[in-house]
Parts: sequence; C-alpha cells; structure tokens
Amino acid sequence: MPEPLVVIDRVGKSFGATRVLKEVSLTVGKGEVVTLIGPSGCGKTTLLRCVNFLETYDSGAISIDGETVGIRIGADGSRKARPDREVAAMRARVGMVFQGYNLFPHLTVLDNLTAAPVKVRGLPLKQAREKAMALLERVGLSEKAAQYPAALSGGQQQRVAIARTLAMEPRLILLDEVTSALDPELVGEVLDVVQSLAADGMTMMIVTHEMQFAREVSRRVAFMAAGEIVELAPPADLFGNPKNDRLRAFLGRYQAAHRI
Amino acid sequence: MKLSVLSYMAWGAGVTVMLAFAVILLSSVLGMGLALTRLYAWPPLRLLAAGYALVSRGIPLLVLLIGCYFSLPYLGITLPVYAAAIVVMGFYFAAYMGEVFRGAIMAVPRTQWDAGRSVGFRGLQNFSVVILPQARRLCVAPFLNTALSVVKNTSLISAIGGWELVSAGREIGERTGELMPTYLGVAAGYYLICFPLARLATFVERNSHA
Repeated sequence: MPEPLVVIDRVGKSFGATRVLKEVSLTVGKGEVVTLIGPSGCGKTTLLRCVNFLETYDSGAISIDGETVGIRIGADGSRKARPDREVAAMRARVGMVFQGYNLFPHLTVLDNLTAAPVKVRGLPLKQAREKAMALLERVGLSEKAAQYPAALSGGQQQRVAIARTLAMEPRLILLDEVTSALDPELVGEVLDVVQSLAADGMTMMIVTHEMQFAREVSRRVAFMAAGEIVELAPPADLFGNPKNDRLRAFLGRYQAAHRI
Repeated sequence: MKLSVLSYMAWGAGVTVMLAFAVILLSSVLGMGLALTRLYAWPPLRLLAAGYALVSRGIPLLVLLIGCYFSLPYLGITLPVYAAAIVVMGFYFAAYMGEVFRGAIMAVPRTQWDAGRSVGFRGLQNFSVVILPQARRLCVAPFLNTALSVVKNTSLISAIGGWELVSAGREIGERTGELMPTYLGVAAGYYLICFPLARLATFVERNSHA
C-alpha cells in the first residue's frame, strides 16, 4: 500500500431528508487510480465533489495530504469552515474534470489553460503559455490553441479540460463521468489521455460507467450503492468474482445492456 | 431658413444624446449595485432591492418626473431641471438595468462557477474572471434595448421644462406652423440616434462566443 494521499473517513451527507452518503470511508494512495462505479444516485458523484469541497459534507472528514478539506476540526471535535482563501488554495492543487467539460466559453483554448496558472499561481504569462502549448501537444490539440471551445468537438473539449487541469500541476485529479456526454466514437480519445495519466503515476479518483475502462485503468474499484461503498477490490476480483448481491445485479444489468 | 431649422433640431438632438448618455451611465451603475444586492447581499437587503425594482417599475416615469421635480422645492431641495431629470430617470431606469444585469448573471450556468472554483479561483476572482465576462455578453442585447428605451423617454423631460429634441421641434412647429414635417423631423432625429444602438446590439450578439 503506497502512502495515502486522500483519506475519506466516515463521511456523511444529506440533501434534506435524503442521506446521500452514509459513513463512507476510502483511502487513495499516492499514484493510485481508484474508480467509483454504481447505479445513478448512489452518491458517487457527490462523494467526488466533496473531495474538492464543491459540495460540503455534514460528518466525518476528508483529508488530502493530511489537511482536512473545507473544514478545520478542533481538538474537541468542533468543525469550523475554512476561509475561502484556504479552500481555493486546496482546490488549486486538485484537478477536476466534469461530465459537461465546463470549459470557459469566452476564452480561447490557450487562455482556458493559462487563466488559473497566471491568476491563481502568479505564473508569468509567457511561461504559462509555453506550458499550455506543451500540454495541448500532449493531448493532441496544439493546432486548436487559438480556437474558442464552441468550435471543438466534445472529445476535443474534454481533452482540453484535462489539459486545463494539468496546467495547475495537480497532486490529484477527480474525473466525474468524463465520457458520459460524448458520442461513442469520441470516448476512446478521452480515455486514452486518462490512461496515459495513469501510466505517468497521477493519482486519480474516477467516476465512470465505462466498466471496461474501469477494469483497465484502476488499481482498485469501489462499488457504491445507496450512499455506501459496498465492495472495494482490485478490478480483476470485483468484476471477476463479485461477492455482493447488489454488485452482481448491477454488473448483470450492465452486461445485458452492452451486449450487441 | 431650412438650414437654421435643421441645425436647431440637431442642437436639440445633441442635448437628447447627452441626457440619454448621462441617464444610461447613472442607471447602469445603480443597476449593477441593485443586481449584486439582489443576488448576493444580506437577505433583508435583497428583499429591499427587490421591492425597489417592483415599486419603481410600477410607476409611470412622467408621474415620477413631475412629482419629484415640482415637490422637491417643498423639501428645501432645488435642482436644475437637467440634474433633476437625470437623477430621477437614473433611479427609475436603474430598476430595469438591475433586472438586465441580474438576468445575465443568473443565465451563466452553475457549472461555470464549479469549473472556476475547481481550478482554484476564489469567490470574487471567479466572479470577475469567469462569470462576469460571460454575463457581459449575455446582457448586451437587453442592455441596449433598455438604452433605446432611455433615449426615447428623455422626451418626457420636456414636460418639466427641460429643453431637448422634442422642445426644439415644438418651438419650430409653433414658429413655422409646419407641424407635420417638423414632428416627422423630430421622429427621424430619434430614429437616427437609436438606429446605431440597435445595429450594435445585433452586431455584438452575432460576434460573441459564449
């Protein structure tokens, strides 16, 4: 087991009367890729959003590199919200890629990549541009640097979104159903980029519905149902020898839906 | 004579443009304040701003102009007619401008806030770097629409004795007796002021990326 980077410790969260996360615990090691799978509404996206505090959580604690996310917990167990400055500083080192790409539509591809490094990090523009071009090269889109996001295909936008995240040199990347909005023929190009990040040893938490991809890219897969992680295992075990009934039913449904 | 009539009218149009410009400026500044108050301020203040928008949009501008200009002296305040007109119209149109800005800010998808925060922008920075530029594009058309409304409504200032394009037309009409051509000329004057604004709205809308 590598040194832990993300420690999720009995995290609970409710939306009104609905408990979306029930005492979820999960540790992600440095350089590890953990995938969260499960039926819609099981809480996997909420859990991911809690990790960079786009969503608050009610109980338990999430910490990244030993620092609790979004809150400070006192010696007496009291919970105090961290100031905006600290939350933003934490997010600057945690990348997130969204289902809907969420590129900044008013900025060119290049400016999408340089905005945060320049304005948050204080990187000189020239340096930020050079780095952005190198990242665009890496995702195969350097010729699109001057374009606006609207001129790009979904797959291209998502690759830009990944490059935008990399521009901040994150220690962790959260990927939230990054291929769900894509046409089937564009899924591969995005997954290839994610695959190459994994090969480079990037720590990632991935929410996905692509089981084959989860199997290939993850070191461990967590199956969530009704706000809980009910099974957590290396992909070969989880997919090859599922123990939990709900997981077996879920995988059965998935296979039935994907048989051509 | 024709030339002097035209130049007199042009002088009136110039005054109208300056009045409209001042009102648009004042109402935009106040409107931005109203929009931000309604969106992000302490809840009781939000309610107050919403109430202000509701009340001022429910009163005819002519009533406000006459009412304020002629009753201010009773409160010991005497303002030159143009100053009074600009202030009253500025506050009146602030309610409309406020709605324009508020609508535009609200029309920027929630996901853009998420995206900005996820790359490390702080609240205010996120607002100014990510949200505001997109809102600005979204508000151009309704903003210019309201600006057109301001231009045309400056004609009401003649009702409290301010001299502008309509007043110039009225004087020419009374002196020459040529009412029909004179008021056609006045109408053409307003059209010439408004036409570029309307064209600008179309142009900006066509050339935005958001």
